[in-house]
Amino acid sequence: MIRMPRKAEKRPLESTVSLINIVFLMLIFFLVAGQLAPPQDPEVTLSEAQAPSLPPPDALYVRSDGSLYFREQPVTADAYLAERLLQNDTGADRIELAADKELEATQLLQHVAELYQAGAKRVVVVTRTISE
Amino acid sequence: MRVDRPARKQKPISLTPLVDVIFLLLLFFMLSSTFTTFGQLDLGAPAGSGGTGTVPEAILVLEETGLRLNGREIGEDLLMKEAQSLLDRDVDSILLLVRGATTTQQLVAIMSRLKSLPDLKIVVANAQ
Repeated sequence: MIRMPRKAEKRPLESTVSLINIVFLMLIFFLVAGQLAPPQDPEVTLSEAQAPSLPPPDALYVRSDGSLYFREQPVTADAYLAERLLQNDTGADRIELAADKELEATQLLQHVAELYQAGAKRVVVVTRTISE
Repeated sequence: MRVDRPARKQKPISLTPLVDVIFLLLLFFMLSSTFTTFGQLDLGAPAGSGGTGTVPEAILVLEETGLRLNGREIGEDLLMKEAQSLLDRDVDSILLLVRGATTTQQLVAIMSRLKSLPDLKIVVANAQ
């Protein structure tokens, strides 16, 4: 028996149009469903609650050991407030405080009190909304 | 004499640059978007800072072991019922005392549940 070399079947080049379609769909999905997020502190896990919603905040973070961080730089309440007032931004009267869920609540309250003493008009705690 | 130009055959536009740009956009939006939904919880000004707030008519103590309403231990599942019965008795301001090693998660959970009763005024205080 003679072995005949099989002729390699030449496949037609795959069209890129289907690829583009999928990528386009994903692009639209992320455009519509996502929100642009300011940098978040990787060490902080927010506590969960059902609370009025808030757009992704550029918040002041409190890590679980009680230290304050803003954009991953350690700060104090006074310095943070002074900077916010210096920038004179419109949201200066509302301070968003994002606390780790393992942080002791007494320490959180201390930070809130310090922020009010430093001149904040309103302090809100950032939480993560749990889906029902 | 008029010479008609030979009609140029147009080549189809190359899709590669389009795909490049779309890929870049896709990457950007994938990396920079978030799907977490955030919430905000108002803790209010700290008690004892000389405000003119009303005198609280009920005290809820929050410890790591549980809740105590006016000195009586209550389970977390009974919290809403107790709060509602307080409101029924015209007690509309409550002092939330935080003690010991209570975590932020516990405080936030209790606060967000109590806030669902709009008539109840809550003052949070640090017991340490």
